[in-house]
Amino acid sequence: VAILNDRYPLKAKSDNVFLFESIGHSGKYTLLGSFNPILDIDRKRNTQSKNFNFAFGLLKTSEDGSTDIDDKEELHNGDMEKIFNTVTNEIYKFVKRNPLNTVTISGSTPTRTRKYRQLISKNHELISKHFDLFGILPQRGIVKFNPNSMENYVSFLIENKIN
Amino acid sequence: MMKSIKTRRMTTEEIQSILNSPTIIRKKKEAEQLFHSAEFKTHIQKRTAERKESSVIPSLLKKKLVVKKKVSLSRGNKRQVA
Repeated sequence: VAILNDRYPLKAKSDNVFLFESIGHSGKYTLLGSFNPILDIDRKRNTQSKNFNFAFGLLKTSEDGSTDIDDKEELHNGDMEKIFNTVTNEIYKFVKRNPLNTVTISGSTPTRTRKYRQLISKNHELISKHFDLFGILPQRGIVKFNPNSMENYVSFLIENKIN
Repeated sequence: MMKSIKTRRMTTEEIQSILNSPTIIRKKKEAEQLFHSAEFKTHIQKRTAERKESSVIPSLLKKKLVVKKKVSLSRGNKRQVA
């Protein structure tokens, strides 16, 4: 299952986590994407959350073996599009596997969120064929994502497309 | 062309280590704040209902069509017999 072809192969994966290597002019970096269930206080007995936050960044492993991701570092590896395609494809697979799931994404900094918006806008035609996409605005709340809008979304909400 | 490499399955320890990492926990808390807002909840509830409806209706229609087909076939058979 793929919606974007020029992408990196995955090094490792589980149902909610995946790893791949970005290879570019600054070197080789391992990147990690993770779908993390959001606690739903209205459904205390239901542990199967349908709402996920997507975290993404550089994989860091410390000497004691503990892992973390750096979601602030800018790679400048010249492969932004290929990374975007890889991540979008995994989000696509995740949402298609569980059509009732929703995924929220926000950049760790306003600059990164703007970058996400630019990439989504550029690929909007293709993305909107597969997803219903919303932007979250501080003043106006949840609105349908508009690729031509100049407003600064703080987060994005991705849902399986309703036909 | 995508380079073909074998994707390995992650171990439970690896996954747990990632899910318990400080950045993931921070991101989850931020998302929970957003998710627990009344507007977000209303949006999710409305959309979930729409999504369920859109997946239930086509399957119901399909069932109805199958039943109709069966009925028309049996009628045809009766006429043939008569």
